[in-house]
Amino acid sequence: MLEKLKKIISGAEADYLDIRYEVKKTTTVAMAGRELKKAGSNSTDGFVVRALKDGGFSSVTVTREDDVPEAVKLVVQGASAMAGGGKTVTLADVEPVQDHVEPDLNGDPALVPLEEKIALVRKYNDIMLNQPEIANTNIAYKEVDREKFFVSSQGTAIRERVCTVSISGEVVARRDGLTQNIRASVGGANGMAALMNRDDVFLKRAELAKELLDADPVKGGTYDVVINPSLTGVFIHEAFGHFSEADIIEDNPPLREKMAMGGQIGSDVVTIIADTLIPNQVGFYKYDDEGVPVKTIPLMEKGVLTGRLHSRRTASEFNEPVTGHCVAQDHGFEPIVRMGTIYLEKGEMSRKELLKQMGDGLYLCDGKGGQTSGENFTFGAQYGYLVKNGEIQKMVRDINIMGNLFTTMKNIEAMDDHMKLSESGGCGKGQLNIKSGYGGPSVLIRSMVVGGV
Amino acid sequence: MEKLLKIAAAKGCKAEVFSTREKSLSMSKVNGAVSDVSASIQSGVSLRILKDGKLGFAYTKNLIDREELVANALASLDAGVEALYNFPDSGSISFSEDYDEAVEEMSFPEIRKNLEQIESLYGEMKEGIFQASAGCETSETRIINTSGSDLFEKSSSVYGVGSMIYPGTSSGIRNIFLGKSDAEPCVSDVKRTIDFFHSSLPEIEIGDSRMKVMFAPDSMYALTWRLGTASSAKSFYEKVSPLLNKVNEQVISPLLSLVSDPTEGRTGRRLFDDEGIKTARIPVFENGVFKAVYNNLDYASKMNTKPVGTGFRGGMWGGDRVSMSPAPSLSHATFALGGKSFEEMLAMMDRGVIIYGALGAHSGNILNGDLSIGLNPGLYVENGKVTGRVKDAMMAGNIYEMLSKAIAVENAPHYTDSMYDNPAILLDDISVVGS
Repeated sequence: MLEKLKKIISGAEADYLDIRYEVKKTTTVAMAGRELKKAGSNSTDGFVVRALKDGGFSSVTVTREDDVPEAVKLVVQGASAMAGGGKTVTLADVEPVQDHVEPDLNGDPALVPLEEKIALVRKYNDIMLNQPEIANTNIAYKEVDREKFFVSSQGTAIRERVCTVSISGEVVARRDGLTQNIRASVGGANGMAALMNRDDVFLKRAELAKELLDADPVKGGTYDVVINPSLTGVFIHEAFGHFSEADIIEDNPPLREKMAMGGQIGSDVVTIIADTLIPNQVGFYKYDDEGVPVKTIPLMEKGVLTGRLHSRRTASEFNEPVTGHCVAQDHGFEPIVRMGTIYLEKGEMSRKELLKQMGDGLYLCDGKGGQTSGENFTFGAQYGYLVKNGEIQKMVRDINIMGNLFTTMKNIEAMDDHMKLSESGGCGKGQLNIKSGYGGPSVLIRSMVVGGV
Repeated sequence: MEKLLKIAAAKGCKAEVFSTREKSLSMSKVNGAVSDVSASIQSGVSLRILKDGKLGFAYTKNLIDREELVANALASLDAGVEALYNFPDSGSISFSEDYDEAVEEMSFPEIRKNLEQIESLYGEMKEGIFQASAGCETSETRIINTSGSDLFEKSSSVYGVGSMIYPGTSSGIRNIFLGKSDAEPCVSDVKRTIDFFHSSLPEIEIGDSRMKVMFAPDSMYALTWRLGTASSAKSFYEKVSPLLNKVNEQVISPLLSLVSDPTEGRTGRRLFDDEGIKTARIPVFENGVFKAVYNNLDYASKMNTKPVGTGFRGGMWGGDRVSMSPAPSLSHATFALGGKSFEEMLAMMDRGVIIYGALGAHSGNILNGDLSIGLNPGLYVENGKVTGRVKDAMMAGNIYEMLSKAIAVENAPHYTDSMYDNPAILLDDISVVGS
């Protein structure tokens, strides 16, 4: 395949071309309540071609091999149409690489029969449905196995397989007219082992959903909060991580100024690392979709901005080192700057001490999705507790938080000594990235705006 | 396509083949400089088979080996997914009224020209950033099945977006233009955007209080998402909808009617859903009364009712239609127009916010109707005039309570990218939490 791809791009008239061919095998087992809704395996494939010509840069995606010649023609036309339009694109230099990467799997999902996957989903689903006041579940096994072939006109030729598995979904509790839900998720990028013997996770999630029926809606207002590791991951991903993706600020001069290297963005207890190379984590890969080896990047050290995530295009634009963070959802998408695994470094105190330091406020747990727009972000917590004098009190629900990156990062006061990374990802920055891992310890943040209901 | 049906039929199955081909070109500019250029030609085929009350499902993007696709569907069938329905015989339909051949041939230089026209509408910005994007799309969908349906639709669209971004932020207000052959701009909407942008430049801290809240069309999806989830046959079948036993009951303000009508729209109208059921106008909420549960073939059979043409592939996040199973979907829902002009509604706001962007609309308890969103941006209004934009503020509530407090609905529609045309809606006495 790599030789075929080299031939496809060899004749095109451009300063630079690359092509990615990808085969994506997906296995899904989905259940709603006791009912099996979907089960099966499928394979799709497609091509992504990119060209640089006279400072113009363009990309085209196609599915059928018959359309590849038109794609090559279109991509050069697109680059030409951009050339001379005011913005000149250059790509940061990289050394050509030839490599073949296979994942280190503890139980290759491709070798496990569909029936066994169905049985596993049924088992976890039954655990949740058998709990009192559980009205429904929506739970799915998802296996995404991508085999990528990348070739560039600068001599890079890489074949890499990345495989991700998860069992995730929601459990719904209902009493009278009130419904409450809690998300459940296990998984990773190191094979089936991540999914085995996880009964306790699903049991606990069902119990939490039931407990939420007795929780009060949180009252809107400004609170001091301690967020648990799952929520810290979402917070770091949404509030800071996206802002460290260079393409987000590339065309916004005031934001580039605010995010200048060496700036004191956070309080001096905050250290944030982007480490996609942590073995077995959901975000793990070796090369990005531009054929650049991914590097571990300290993004913030003691509150000072020290790094940024780049594509070759943005690295050149910012005159900063390439990092290998230009990633596509699959063969249907051009790659864009994305986080792999990002986490906040842990501190030294216990969670009890952290709550004590907060005094009165909220202890918020587990992410329920988030969103960012420039320096503003929101994220939801699945449940939380009122805290009085450092002691956890009644459970609360319907928690959404909004904040401003620059204010909030400076309001981070302390963190505990227990860190945890997420087992599944799912970031929707224009395209889905299931390999966005995140995490951290429990964190004390002062003065957060909580929406409530 | 036909060969696939034959192979599946030879295995003793009823079958449906769903296929798509989509082509798109897009270009964007930031402050006058072209920043992104891309194109996409995507196709795919999806096969559903039925046998002995079970469903098999398989898809591919590149139909090279038909036998392999059928084998994947048969393997899926063996898993035992229950399906107590048959594929419909909707006859033969070929609909291409929303298709303009010229769009298929559009080139990047033509799109760049469209971009420049959009820029000229807004003039030079002294503060903030101007972003423009433009593009074109053509789409073909064909569904054939062993019951006799042979359905084909083809559409084209040309779009343009002009966004004015506040200084030092990524937050802004925008206009979207869309048409079958060209993206004719609404000049009065553009003028309002420019006026509002300038008058909302100051950031205002509002604290916590209750006030009037206007949902601009761009943020309407936060409401329809929740109403749609609650009125879906899936939520009824699973007995988790807050609207259970409330059909024909007044659940929101009589000023509000939510209608699903895929046969209406500027382009991309659908005469059949993604399962081949003919589409129709469905009033889901009529004058505030909950009227209809919408379904797909699966839930219609489970609930012993008729399918209503709302089985679509894709969700709130869109997605690859070929790889997704049809599900009950209100993807073509819009609020019915009301009787007030935008200016009249603005004059009704003694103190309040206009929500132009909802941040985090996906993270509340959607099924329960809970909504807690960041205002991004939220334009602050005092005595009928926009005087600034709120700083770090959220709006929160339960939509059934909130929508009972509707006091006006706009009499004009505006196109949004996540929904079809929608008017603005004004609500009274809503909780807003600010910094």
